[in-house]
Amino acid sequence: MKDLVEFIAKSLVDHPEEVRVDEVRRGEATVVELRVAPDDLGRVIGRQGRTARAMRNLIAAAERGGSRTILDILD
Amino acid sequence: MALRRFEGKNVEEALDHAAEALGVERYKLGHNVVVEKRGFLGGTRRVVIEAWEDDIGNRADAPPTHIPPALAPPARDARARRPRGGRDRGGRDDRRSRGGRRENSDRDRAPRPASPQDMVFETGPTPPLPENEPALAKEFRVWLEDLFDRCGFLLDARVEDGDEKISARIYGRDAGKLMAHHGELMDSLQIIANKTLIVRSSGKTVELDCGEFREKRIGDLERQAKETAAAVREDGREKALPPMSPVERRIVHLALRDDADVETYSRGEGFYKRVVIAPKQAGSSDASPES
Repeated sequence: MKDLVEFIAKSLVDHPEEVRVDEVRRGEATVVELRVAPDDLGRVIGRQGRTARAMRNLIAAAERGGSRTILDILD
Repeated sequence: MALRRFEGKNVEEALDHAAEALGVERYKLGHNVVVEKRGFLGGTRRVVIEAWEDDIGNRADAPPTHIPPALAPPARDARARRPRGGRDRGGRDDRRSRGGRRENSDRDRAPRPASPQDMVFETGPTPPLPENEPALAKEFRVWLEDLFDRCGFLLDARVEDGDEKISARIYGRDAGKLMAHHGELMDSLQIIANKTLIVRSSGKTVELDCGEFREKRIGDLERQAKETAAAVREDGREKALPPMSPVERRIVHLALRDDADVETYSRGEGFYKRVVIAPKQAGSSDASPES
């Protein structure tokens, strides 16, 4: 799931080299933490969180069995 | 976790209400139908469901009969590799082996009831790639197919680069996943696609389609609008349709623009903006039949 988030984030932003993705276990779930350059934050979140929501939708659909994945966008 | 009850004209609508009230994505909801009332013409008029947020670690909360569609593993045979038919895959095979399509041990579990996600949506065979695929079309197609691979979806794309629009048609056996819940995933994909640097720098917009998806959805929305308008006309009270995207709301507004008895307006903000169908205000006191 980390790869998927990294792939999407890198295709969205202006500074793909500053995309950082970490995977952390939190109880039953896997948290994917996404960090991008400050001026790219809006790109991965989108107006009213549209883009972030779309990413979460895609992640949920790509889950195969395994644990649930939560996307955290950090600044 | 307490089970809350939600109502709607059909299960889909009840689920929409549940998703909104619980603040979770629709396909993360599990549900049971509690009441299903039939209308006098045979159609279902009212459905009450119990819905809960389905969490894999929390399955004890869910009634044992239910297997959540989104979380259950795809049926094994559905994942059988489709013959790839010797097409040019744009040099993606190296990537596929690197990222690896994760093998899913859950796949061997017992079969489960059919769900929208499993719907085999017939898209027909993927057409061959054009001889001279334009650079932008190719770049976008490779991106899209790469994304499908990383999601584990067996899907192909064929892209046309128009003057203002990049149109992508999607083919393959996982198309049903994109179509589930009124194409929720298609919409998400389209949002992401439109924000990619590839598309942004082209100054165009992307439209995704799959089978007769767009056409069917327009038809469905128009039908829903007319049915709701008929109900409003009947009992004289305004009704709100489920939250919709701007494009969908526009279809509803247009469908009822020439309706003499009802008017439409949008209510709410952001994702939860919905169309309200209300009896026409003008002349409501004297209910004059002349147009």
